[in-house]
Amino acid sequence: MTWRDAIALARRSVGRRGGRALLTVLAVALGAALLSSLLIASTAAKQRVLDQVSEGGPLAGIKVVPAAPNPGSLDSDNPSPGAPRPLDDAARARIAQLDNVVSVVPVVATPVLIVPPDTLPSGAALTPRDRGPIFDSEVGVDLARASSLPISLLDGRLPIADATTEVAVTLDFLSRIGVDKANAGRVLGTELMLGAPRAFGTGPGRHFRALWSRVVVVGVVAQEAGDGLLIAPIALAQTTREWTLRGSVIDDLGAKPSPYTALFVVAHGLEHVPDVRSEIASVGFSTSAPETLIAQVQRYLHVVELVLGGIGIIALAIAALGISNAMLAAIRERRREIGVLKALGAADRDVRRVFLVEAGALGFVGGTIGAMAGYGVASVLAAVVNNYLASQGLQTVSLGLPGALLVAVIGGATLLALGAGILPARRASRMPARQAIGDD
Amino acid sequence: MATGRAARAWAGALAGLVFLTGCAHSHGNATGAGHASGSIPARPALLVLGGADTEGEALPDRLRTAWPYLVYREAMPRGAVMVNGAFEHATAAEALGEQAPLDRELAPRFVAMWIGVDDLRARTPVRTFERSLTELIHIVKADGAQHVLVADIPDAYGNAAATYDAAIRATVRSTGAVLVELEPVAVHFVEADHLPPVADTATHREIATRFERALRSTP
Repeated sequence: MTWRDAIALARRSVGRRGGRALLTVLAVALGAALLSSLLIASTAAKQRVLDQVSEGGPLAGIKVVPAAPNPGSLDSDNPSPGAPRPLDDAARARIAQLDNVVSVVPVVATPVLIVPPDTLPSGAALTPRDRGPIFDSEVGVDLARASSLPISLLDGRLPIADATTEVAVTLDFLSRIGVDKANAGRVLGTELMLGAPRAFGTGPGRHFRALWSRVVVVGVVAQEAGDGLLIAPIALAQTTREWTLRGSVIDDLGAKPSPYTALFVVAHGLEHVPDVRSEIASVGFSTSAPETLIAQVQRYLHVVELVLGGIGIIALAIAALGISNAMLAAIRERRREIGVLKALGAADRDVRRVFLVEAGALGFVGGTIGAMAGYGVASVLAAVVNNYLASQGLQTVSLGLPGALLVAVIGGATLLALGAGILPARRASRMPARQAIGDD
Repeated sequence: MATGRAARAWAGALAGLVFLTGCAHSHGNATGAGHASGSIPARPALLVLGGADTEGEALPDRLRTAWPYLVYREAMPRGAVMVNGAFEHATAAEALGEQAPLDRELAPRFVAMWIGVDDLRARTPVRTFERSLTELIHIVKADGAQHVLVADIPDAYGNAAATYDAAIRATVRSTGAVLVELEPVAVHFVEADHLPPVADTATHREIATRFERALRSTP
């Protein structure tokens, strides 16, 4: 008997008992749907939690500040830094050459006076806490490497890396100008006037002048940008900072003499973060990284993944038992057919093949339907969750298409069904032809 | 048959379990992508020189309503930067010493100045005022300013304004600057602490309009 004959016989058998086959497929589909939706959900939840912990940046991110390390708190995630120490290009180059360092992104923060307009682009009037200008900081980063930074976009986009008239704002900025975070998108397109302050003279005669520029809000980010309200291309922040640093007094304005106010270092994996931090300390700079917190969270999430995966696998195993049961029932009903096949010269392996094909097909079809249904359920729930997150002004999430996971679920369901079909197939194949025909 | 019944029972239990268990949430990271990096090109700059009125002192919301900020927002391209170098009691001679250095640093393409009110109040000799103003215009032109706008003094500042206005016009003619005629502007004054009365918000609006018109008329 060829494979084609076996498939034809299996198809005919399934078609003859359509109701039972449908129920069996449904059982497998439900198991696969449960497994796939739970795995998609747990993967998604894990990613979301880790994003929150790492503020949307790489898990192996390390912040280097312009200060010497504090010997008393080297093992802390967020140690108090030691004495101030300039963080310049030489330090940046040295840190970039350390083992297991993937990237080093400089950060420049500079004091800035922000003058919002009276109205939003929609024409709605702004109702800020205070009508006066806002004195805060602008944080400049290399936006060409935004994916290496703890920045999560809530609405709009990030400024173009070499733009001179674009910024992104933080949720705290929205609060300062009286815009609810659920309406974050309304500030997109708003023009702000930014003034980099500079002190002239000292003592009682000291006065300030600002270098003014006009920028457009192109995005809203979920996290606070360090100590600033705005995220800008680094060259823009450096230009305004240079203006401020040429003044007679800089400390009172919150400006720091260090060329970079921070470096954001990404290590080659979470496991290398302690080593990289230690090496950076030996270079002479204080660091902070949520490594301990992330490791703990990952451990907890792994347990959750195991539990949810276990529930799904149990469901699939139950479905496999259903297949086994259906096949055993089929053997009893098809004894005459098995007897005839054997009388006509079919070997044991031929009979076994027919039953295994039937079991495998039920598993494959059920697994495919279930995997798709699981993805659909997870997508619907993701949409509901995203609606809620958006209404709360929080970063939304996206499932993506977990292709490998879906293929694994379909493959797993098929293999499980084949496994469940082995015993019935063996029993059918070992049934003597005479007994098969005679018993009927 | 017993096996079949058991399996059907399991199937029923499984269906119940699936419907009761429900499912889950979602995940993701909407980190934005970046673009090519580069340095900021030289940006057109506007430098404003003047006294207390130009500084916008005593206006309730000077960063939005004082004439330099109105001109900057309404008449300059978005990519331009602006420094308002004005300060109170700035005569032309003091502007030379205190405000002209900003010009060297910024090398602005546009310079707008309203100087003379404090000279008028300080009774600076007109010839001295004219000399200082001429020197100031020469400095900004030498530093690369392509559009130099110089405003005269509205009549509302007193009878002496006409004398200074004549000097301003003569200087503008000799230096090739652009005159912004404020002479006919009806100035409404507001009281200011430690300062002589200064122009009110509506007057700043009118002054800004005249500067903008002059700026647009320049080639």
